[in-house]
Amino acid sequence: MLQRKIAITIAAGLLAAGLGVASAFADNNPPSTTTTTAITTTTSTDATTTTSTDANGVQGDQQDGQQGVDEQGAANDVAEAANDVQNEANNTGADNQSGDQQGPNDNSEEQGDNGQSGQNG
Amino acid sequence: MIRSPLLVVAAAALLLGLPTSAGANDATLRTTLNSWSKKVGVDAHSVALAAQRRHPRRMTYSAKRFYRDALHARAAVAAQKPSTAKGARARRLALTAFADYALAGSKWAASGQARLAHRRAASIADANAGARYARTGDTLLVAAGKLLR
Repeated sequence: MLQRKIAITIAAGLLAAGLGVASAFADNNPPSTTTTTAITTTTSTDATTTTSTDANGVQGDQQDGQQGVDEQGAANDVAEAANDVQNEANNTGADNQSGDQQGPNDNSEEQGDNGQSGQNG
Repeated sequence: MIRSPLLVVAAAALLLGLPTSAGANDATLRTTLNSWSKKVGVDAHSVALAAQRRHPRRMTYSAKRFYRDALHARAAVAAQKPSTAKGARARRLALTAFADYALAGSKWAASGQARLAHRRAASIADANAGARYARTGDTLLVAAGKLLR
């Protein structure tokens, strides 16, 4: 009888813990007072290498806070690229030959591009 | 006598695990979207830099890389299995966003090639088309990110 009581007590405790975890996941909105500090992005050789959330949700909270910044930053970079490509296409002047690749198979990155996004958030 | 409480404990343990795994699926989608957004953002910055410096060859090369990474991003998001309705909607938006980005990258590359071939009208038309796809993709990507917050 005592064993049964112990088991039921443990089960009730586990259920309470489960409810706690569920409520923690349900309420994962970022704080309303989000800061607008610029976050420098680093070039990752493999974008699928991701950080995982840990059990206590600390990592997850940090990612939630950064999430909107990353998408908005990427959107800003894409919008800027769109404008610059349009400007380049509309430009009636000659292209800048110095610094541009000289051959069709010369595939290299823009010199001075350190792989960091210039605009985030 | 003992079996029944053990079953209760096992059921409780299962219930304990379910919310964690359900949240983890949306969390994985969130992390994937986050990582690939950064990646395509860096690619877009390279395109912008080459265009600003009026280096059409480099711009074309960077645009092709943007195109490839947008397709990779779409595949990575497509492999995710969101656990909530909001996650599923975010996934759909992100898929369309990265598809639009791929189209934008394709048009930017075409614009650069047309520029190199001194076909100005075609270059302008491709640049304008790319900008339209890019803006649509921007809107959808930001909306997807907001749904996963």
